[in-house]
Amino acid sequence: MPVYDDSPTGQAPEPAPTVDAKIVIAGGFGVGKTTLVKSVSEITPLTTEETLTSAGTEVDDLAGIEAKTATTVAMDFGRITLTTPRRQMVLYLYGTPGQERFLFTWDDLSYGAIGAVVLVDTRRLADAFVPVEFFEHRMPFVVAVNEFEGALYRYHPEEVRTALEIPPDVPVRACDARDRHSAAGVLEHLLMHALAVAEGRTHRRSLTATTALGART
Amino acid sequence: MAGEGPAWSTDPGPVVRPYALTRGRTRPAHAMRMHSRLLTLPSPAARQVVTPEARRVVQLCRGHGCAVAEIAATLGRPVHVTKILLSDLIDSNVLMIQPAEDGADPTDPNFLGEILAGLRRLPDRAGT
Repeated sequence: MPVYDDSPTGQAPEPAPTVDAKIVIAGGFGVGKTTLVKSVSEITPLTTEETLTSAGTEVDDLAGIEAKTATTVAMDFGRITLTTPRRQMVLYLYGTPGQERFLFTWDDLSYGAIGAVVLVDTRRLADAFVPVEFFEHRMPFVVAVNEFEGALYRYHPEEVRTALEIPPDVPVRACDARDRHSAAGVLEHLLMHALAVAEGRTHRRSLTATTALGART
Repeated sequence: MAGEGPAWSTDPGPVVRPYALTRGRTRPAHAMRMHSRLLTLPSPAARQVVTPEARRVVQLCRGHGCAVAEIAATLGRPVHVTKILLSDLIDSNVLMIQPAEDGADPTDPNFLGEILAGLRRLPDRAGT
């Protein structure tokens, strides 16, 4: 939780500013995004609402349509404070609203993000098409296949790759979103991938075709 | 969210409606993102805020500051409404938006490496 009493008289902000980074956790509704955020976050995931008409930008003119702001979109986020020798860094995890109809919020959510995790439930593979397609042209991402309790291995991660037509250089791995260790491993994997992309060691292949492979879902 | 839970709610929601709080305004004067970090300024104005929301914000943004999304979640207000409140506090010299940090480019290998090292140094990640 934030420290309230470190400068009781409202003194100057800390000389070394905190640096923020952001990771987006995407995936279909009920795939375990909140669970994953909860596993690694140092705070209980907080829920933020965004009004529908703000549509993810600061420039929207809401004049005259105020009455339509009743629809809100809930998003979860968590935080991890990282201490590095140089400075304090705060890694924010933003869980996207699951439903596709809230896709318009993803741009603001993912603005400035270092990368994304697309969580996949193999029982509902088709839910992953939209997030994969969204991030493919925007930022480095990894695919994490959430293994649900009691679920048998329905697909090997490589089968998921084939089914979702995920480019060969995008990591696909299994995880248990409830497990802190496993969830942190996914983030670590994402960072390694983002680093590889940033250093030009791997290039995300441009999307060639998005033929639906819904047959097995 | 639509489609989940019962169709009714016993929660009346906030007593003060969101746009009453912003006195009808629907746009923040200062552009900020969900992850923009706000800092409480060492100004007398910061000690003289009166509304409960503003007091809470002043507390939250002390020291290292706080991100817009986190402030919104803590206040229990939509992000957009929160941005308008924060904008007012910036105008009253209570808060400032932390300038974008050098070396915080999400495509900069050094920045990414620093985060990766930080992740690996998390208490229960050591030695894995």
